[in-house]
Amino acid sequence: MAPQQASQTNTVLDALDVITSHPRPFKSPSWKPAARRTKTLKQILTDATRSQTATQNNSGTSTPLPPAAMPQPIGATYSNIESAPSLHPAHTKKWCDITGLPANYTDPKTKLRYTNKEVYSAIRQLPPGAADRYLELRGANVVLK
Amino acid sequence: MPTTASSSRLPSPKPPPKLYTVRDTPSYTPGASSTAAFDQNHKHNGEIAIVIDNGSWQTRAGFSHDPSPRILCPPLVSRYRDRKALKTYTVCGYDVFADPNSRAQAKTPFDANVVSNFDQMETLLDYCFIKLGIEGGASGGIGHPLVMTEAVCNPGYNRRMMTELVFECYNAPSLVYGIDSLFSYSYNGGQNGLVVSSSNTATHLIPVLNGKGIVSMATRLNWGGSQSADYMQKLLQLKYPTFPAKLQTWQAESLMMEHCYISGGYKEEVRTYLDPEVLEEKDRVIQFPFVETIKIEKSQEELDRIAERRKESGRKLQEQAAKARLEKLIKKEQELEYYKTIQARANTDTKRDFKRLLESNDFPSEAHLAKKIKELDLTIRRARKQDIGPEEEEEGPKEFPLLEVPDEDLDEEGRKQKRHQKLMKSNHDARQRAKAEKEAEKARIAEEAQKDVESRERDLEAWVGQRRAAREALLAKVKDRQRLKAELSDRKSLASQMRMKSIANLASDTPASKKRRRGVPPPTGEGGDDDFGRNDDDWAVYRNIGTGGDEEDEEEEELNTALKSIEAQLLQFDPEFDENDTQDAQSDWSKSMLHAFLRGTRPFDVDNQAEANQFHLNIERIRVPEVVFQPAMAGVDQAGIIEIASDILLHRISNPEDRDKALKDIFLTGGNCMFQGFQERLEKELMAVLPYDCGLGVRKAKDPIGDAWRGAAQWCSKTEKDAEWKKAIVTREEYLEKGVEYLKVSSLSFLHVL
Repeated sequence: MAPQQASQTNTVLDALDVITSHPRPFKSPSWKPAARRTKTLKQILTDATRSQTATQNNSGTSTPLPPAAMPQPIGATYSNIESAPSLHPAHTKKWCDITGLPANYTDPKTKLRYTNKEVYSAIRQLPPGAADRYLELRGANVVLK
Repeated sequence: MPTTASSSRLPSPKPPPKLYTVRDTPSYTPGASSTAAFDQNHKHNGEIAIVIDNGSWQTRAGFSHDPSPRILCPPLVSRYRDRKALKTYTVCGYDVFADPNSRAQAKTPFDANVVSNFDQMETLLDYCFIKLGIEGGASGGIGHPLVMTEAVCNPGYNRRMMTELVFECYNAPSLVYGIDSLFSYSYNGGQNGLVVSSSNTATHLIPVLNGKGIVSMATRLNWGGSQSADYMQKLLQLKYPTFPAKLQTWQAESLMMEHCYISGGYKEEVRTYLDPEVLEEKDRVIQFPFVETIKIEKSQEELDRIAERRKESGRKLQEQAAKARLEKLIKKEQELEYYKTIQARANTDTKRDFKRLLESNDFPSEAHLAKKIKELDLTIRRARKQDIGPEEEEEGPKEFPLLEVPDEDLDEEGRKQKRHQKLMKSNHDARQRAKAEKEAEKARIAEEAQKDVESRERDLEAWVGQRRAAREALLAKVKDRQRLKAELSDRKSLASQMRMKSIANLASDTPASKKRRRGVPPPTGEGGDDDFGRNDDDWAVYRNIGTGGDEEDEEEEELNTALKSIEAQLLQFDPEFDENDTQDAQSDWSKSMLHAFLRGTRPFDVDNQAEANQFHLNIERIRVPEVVFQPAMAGVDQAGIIEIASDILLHRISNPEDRDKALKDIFLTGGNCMFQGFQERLEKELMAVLPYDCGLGVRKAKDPIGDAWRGAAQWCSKTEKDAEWKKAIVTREEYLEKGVEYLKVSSLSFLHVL
């Protein structure tokens, strides 16, 4: 690289970029990463469920493993340790979407919960779209696909 | 009277609120994560393990004999291509904040609490090993055993990828995984208990019996610090939709960490939160950085000059307008005179002559003439009520002697004077008539006022009722206008659609629908002439399509003054109507709950730029961290931690002895449980659901964030042959022989089948 070009480089990042500048003797020279190494959690979980059902279904066609070699099933997986929906009646308490105060009313038009008439008049004057964003915070918005 | 009343209503001057600041860029100190000198004695000691607490909020790495991790950094990797320099930079950890470009490109390898991007993960591990000063073992590779933390029930794919990376890329001699919260528990000396780990992306509850985590009973709530910060950000964005600055996620996070706390009794506390005395104490004002724009102040002299100039030109215009009005009025009066003479001739002339006369003046019939006269009369009357020019100081000659002299007897000069006197006379007459009309109007108003007083004295109750009704009507009108205004701002509302229709109708050459109103005669013209404008109400259409503007404001002003005068009367005479009932008092900011919510306990000055850049944190301070206890608040359809804990303790642990042991040690760890009051709240609520006198004990980790790493380091610093970690660790040989799925069970990690 020409020297005048080098002077244009970002000196701050030059100093900080240890990954490219520093030798990495601890890395295996023969290491070739797989082509695609990015999966979202959703994809990972879908793939896991699929492979699980696949092994269950074709158990007759492949050679069955001897019982002793079978791994001990624990049964806890990433998806099944999620806590279940609440069954406690106290947790159905309603809160005002705007202020967070206890809410006794629901606006029939926007479906927003509100605590008194002052908040109601504020709801009436919300710019378009804001009501949906409030509902989204509570996971109660309707998404049309 | 009103001055004393309003001054008594003024709040006593308060000291300005304490302002909390928020940074506008993430803090970055160069060299914060510089390499600590590697201990030469341990450089090639294969016994010493490298410990990495691989969290989604912070990466902590160090050696097992260190008292605390050498590297603490956010798991951020930024790959940024500088097109000018033709160079790609890769920076990690805090270093991504050093440059705006790299900051914009910063990414995390995590999705929720599991690693999803292994390219970035590899870069991050490279960074850690470089910073730790690893020079490679005897046979290449990192040359030290590796102890890593992972998510509870880490999916098989993630563990496979990580194991492969560690053994294939870094040639690690051995590797073991563990769960961070269990490390933290063991570091704090726990043996039997329930670990409540509320961390960055999730909250886990894991029972531990005899030092062994019972992962089959582990339960996860999908809510942690990152979700809370997100929630905070969204709440504030909705609370201040027109805020000048943009609230970044990391700013929301720092606000949350600094100001939020767990309420001891949420229901009770939130109910009184906006009460002035409570709010005064709990409201936090956050000042955002802003640049003050200074308006150029005009000196009093300049202002005076401008006002004078404006007054002068206004006066000139008024004079001109009044003159024009007067001339017009005179012309109209003459016209009326003329038409009246025509009408008078109806009786004297023959029918034929009269008809001809009418036709010559463009009147089809006598009725039209009568109508014309009536119209003229009306407009003149109306015009007289208005001001007719400036009062002339000297009235001029009241006599107009030349008018009586016939033209023939005058010379050229005299005729000219006569014409002038004629004009003057009509001018004078018009003025007199206008004056008379005005007097009459004044008399009428006075009479009305007199009547009003009489009616009040006769029957105060009825009078008050009447005034109150009038006030209500005015209020309704004001409200209607506000509603219409609000509706017009919504493009889809009925009001806006009606307005668009009117505009389209006005713009089109052939109006689409012409509903003939009864009582209005059909248009006289033959062609496309509609009768627009014949009825004064027709012009209202232009008012209907206008939005806002000066005219609207004027009308609003008028309504307000009318309302004020009625209220003043009521204040004076109605014993039941006092200061607090007036519209002003009703709309007073100190009465408004929303004002308290948005602007705290002090008045809000729209023009104050500092105040425009302020957030008020009040209910958010307890609303945001409360989600862990009530996930439904943020739309998470899961049970809260109290319900999960009681379910594990009362139902899922079947052995009563184990249960009794676990009850005595509820252990809190993870960054999200560092909110003030978390421990007390958990204890209070658990006490309510657990059996009486069960010996419930709740404690928090000494360092809820760092103890996981220290626990892992402590676990693997035991050097004896049969130390637990040595049994649990998978060596490279075992990996090569048994494959990527091979793992051993230990008390702090677990075998996972997929």
